Amino acid sequence: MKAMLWKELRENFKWALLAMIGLGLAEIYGLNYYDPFNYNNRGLTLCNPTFLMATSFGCAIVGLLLGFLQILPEQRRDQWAALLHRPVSRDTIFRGKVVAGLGLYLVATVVPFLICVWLAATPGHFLAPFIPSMVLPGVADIGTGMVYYFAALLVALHRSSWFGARTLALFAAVYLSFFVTSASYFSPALAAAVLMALVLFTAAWGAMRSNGPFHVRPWLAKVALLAAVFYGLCGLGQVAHMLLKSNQQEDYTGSQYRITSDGQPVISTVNNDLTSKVTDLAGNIINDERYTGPRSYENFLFLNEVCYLIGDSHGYDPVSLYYQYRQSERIVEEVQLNSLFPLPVSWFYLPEKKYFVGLSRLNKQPVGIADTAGFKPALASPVPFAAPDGFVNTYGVPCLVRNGDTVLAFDFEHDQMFQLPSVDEGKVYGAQLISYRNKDSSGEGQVIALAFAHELRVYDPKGNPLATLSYHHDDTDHYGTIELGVLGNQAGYLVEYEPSAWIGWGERNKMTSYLEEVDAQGNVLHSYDLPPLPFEMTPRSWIDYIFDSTRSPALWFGNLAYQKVGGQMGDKNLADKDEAAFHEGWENTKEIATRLILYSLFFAVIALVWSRRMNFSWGRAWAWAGFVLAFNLAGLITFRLVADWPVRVRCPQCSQKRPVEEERCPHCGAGWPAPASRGTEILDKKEEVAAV
Amino acid sequence: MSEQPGASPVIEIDHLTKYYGTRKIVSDISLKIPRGTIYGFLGRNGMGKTTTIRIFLGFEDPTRGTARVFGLDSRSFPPEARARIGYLPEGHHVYGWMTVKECGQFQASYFPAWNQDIFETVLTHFRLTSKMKAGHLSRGQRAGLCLALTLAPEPELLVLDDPALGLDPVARRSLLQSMLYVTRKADRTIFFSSHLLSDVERVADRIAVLDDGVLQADCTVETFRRQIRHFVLKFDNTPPAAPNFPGLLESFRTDRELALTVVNVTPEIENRLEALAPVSIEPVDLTLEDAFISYVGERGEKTFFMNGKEAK
Repeated sequence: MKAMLWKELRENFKWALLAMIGLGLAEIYGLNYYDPFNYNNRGLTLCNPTFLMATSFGCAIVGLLLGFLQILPEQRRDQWAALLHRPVSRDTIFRGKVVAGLGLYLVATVVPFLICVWLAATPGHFLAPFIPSMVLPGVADIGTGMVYYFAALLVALHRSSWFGARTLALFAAVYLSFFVTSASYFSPALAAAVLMALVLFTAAWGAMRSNGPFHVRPWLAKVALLAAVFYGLCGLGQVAHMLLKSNQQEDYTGSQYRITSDGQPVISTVNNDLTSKVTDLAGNIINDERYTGPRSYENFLFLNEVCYLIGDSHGYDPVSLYYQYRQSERIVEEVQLNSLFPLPVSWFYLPEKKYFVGLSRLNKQPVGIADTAGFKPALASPVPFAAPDGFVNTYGVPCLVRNGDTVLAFDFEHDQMFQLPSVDEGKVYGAQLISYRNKDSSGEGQVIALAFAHELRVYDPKGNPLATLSYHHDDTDHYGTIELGVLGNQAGYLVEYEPSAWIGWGERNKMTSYLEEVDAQGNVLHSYDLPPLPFEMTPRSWIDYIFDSTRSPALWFGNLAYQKVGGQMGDKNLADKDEAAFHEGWENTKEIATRLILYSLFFAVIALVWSRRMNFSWGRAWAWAGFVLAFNLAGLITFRLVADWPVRVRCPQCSQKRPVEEERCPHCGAGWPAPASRGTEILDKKEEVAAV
Repeated sequence: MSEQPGASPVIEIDHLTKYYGTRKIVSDISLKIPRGTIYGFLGRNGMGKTTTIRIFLGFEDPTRGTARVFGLDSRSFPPEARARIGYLPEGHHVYGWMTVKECGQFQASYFPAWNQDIFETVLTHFRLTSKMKAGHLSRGQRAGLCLALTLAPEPELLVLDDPALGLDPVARRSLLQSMLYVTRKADRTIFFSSHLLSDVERVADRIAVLDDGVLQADCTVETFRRQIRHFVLKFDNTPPAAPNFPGLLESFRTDRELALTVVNVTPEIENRLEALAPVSIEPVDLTLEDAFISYVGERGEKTFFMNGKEAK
């Protein structure tokens, strides 16, 4: 293996070096790229979307290129034979190639990444703090690139009558990329990458060992090839779904509650983003240009969410819902101040460390920290905000941070900190800085709202109490999303009670919300019930129907079983999903299950008939039909692409088609006739042959 | 070069058939290569020679039938057996970035019985030095390097797939000399495919001829040449059309002559020739190349009449 390792390293080192330089340049460009006008392109240093685009695409390309370059140039028929014709097993040759290839891949991808980590971690280079978790997206991308490497090996090594079948391995890697870039957490993303790499590695190993046929591969390699092709089809389906959907406009009509600047709830009906009509709660049409015109949003009052649940969280995790591990907001939150001119110091909240750090805009060096004790010099020891689950409002002045049962307000414009209610007020479930527009020329005002278990408390931006608004709906477990709006000149408040965030969408859409207009003393002036409004999507398109109906029953039912077992073993999240599937969404679950079973049965029958027509034995035919039953349409296509499809020619005896591999015709039992004698053969007698 | 009767052959191909799709490439070949022979494997391009070699070396699976080398099934050919086989594939592939010396070192690391003397001797024969870059070698030199790499492990069986393809006469001669060098030990077997009949004639003990994937001949070179005979029948007038009998490979008619190439001539065929009443029948000796071309070439009559301006 040493010789193979040496040869592969020597042969491909130059490509790895080139890839390293190219990837390094792309990553450094991405690291420094900043578009202040593109809100979606925000992200700090190693979580900068442009940098992550470089790592995700770059690692995939490097993996693919190295995989192909290791195999394809040697695959001209006789050169490959020359390589294989050595007194070592094909496993050893494969091992030598893979060890060298992975080594080169890691050199090409890890070295530039480490340089970027060093740049990001060394103060003075970027106006952003460095948190070790920032490297995770890059690590996931390097792991994903390995999957592309093995996909390239499989594409190059797998012999298939149809080239398209070989390229499915690439789509398996693409499918993984979709998952890795959309996963909420790093560990499932990395685990998926490792699993897919193992699948493709094993399938490529099987392809190396075999001269082509499926049935001679080791059973593990067979399973891996089936999985690779299946996931390749999933990836292809996902790409096709995206492309088809991108050309299809979805019409929708829906209604929603809005609040006029006077505090009156109205129903606004929207048709494809345009307001078609506005009615009062009784359904009377309001013909008022202010509420139907293109700038109508200026005339509505928007409520701000103060908390999303009160009491038990029921396993709800807002961080995973709103931010993925690839988004720097999960690791570092930049404080957004409203000042017209940038301040000399930029402040960042570090959720993992639970304190603020300030960096000089001038030299990008840390200049201070802000923690429970207020503002401190950069080198001071931080005292993190009290656990467990702090919320932070990093927009505006002051910024609000939960610290145990208190809320700290930080004024980053003046380096001041003060504490909102004292410990004896009870647990705080949320805090929000709320802006409102005055009716006169005095412009805008701001208040701070804190949500407690039984009431909202309102303060001015300096922390002076303004109002205490008791909740008028006791079931705060189910109505724990509290929103607050302030009428102009603090003439009153609007409190809305909405279903708690932990409640599933299906259930929420059936629940009535409540709106109250209250005065500063907490007296209810008006109360409104806001029953759920119809939101009608156009009928689901044929594309969605096909994709829904052809999902794998094995995976779909497996997921249901996983939720059921996990729920029974105490996983709250899985129990909620199980509840959603078998209770509130039972009709939907039943409909999907029926469709999946019918479609997969239909395709399984096709597989059975097809395989028998192709002279597969009953055992093989049933096995493939079972596979198709488990994996639906993708299973049928996998069967067509992977199975050893017999070549059939007409039997000289009975003229029916018979497989060329079999000695006897399955129809008439005839053997193969010897080639017809031409009368020109020159064949020595056997004795003569032996006596040479 | 002798084999005890009953000893197992080095290569044993039994009813071997290979399809690519629905196209039959090799059709029901059975062949035994005795130890110690130099076997020429002949046939036109695309007749299945390389496929047969690839099958018995285990790079392709047969569709039907079996192939065995040293008694081992080609479908499960163990790596150790490869140490006993020297294989020189068509095209003389080398890793261009290696030097000649590195090529040797790389190959030697796999073969326990590597003979550096043989390697260097063959290199010298082809005027190669160890510092030369393999990618810069001429075609002949590359063939020499490949041959050195193939011969140095001192294989019991040497399989060469069209080794002289594209080489000039000097390089071809060098290649042949080197090939013969390996057979200085009596139990060495060489199986080589080639289009160069003069080379085959010079070194091969026996030949096998494939035509359309079917084994048409398996015999000594001498038998092959002896069995294919060429007759020139002279006539006073325009000769008659060639009679149709089994074994007639080709016929050629001119104004006064009828030339016939016939395989497996029997007294009955000779009688039929005489029945044409020619003025004379002259047997003509054929070289192996002529015999081979007649044997695998286009069948049927070719005419060339000057007076009637008829040509076919």
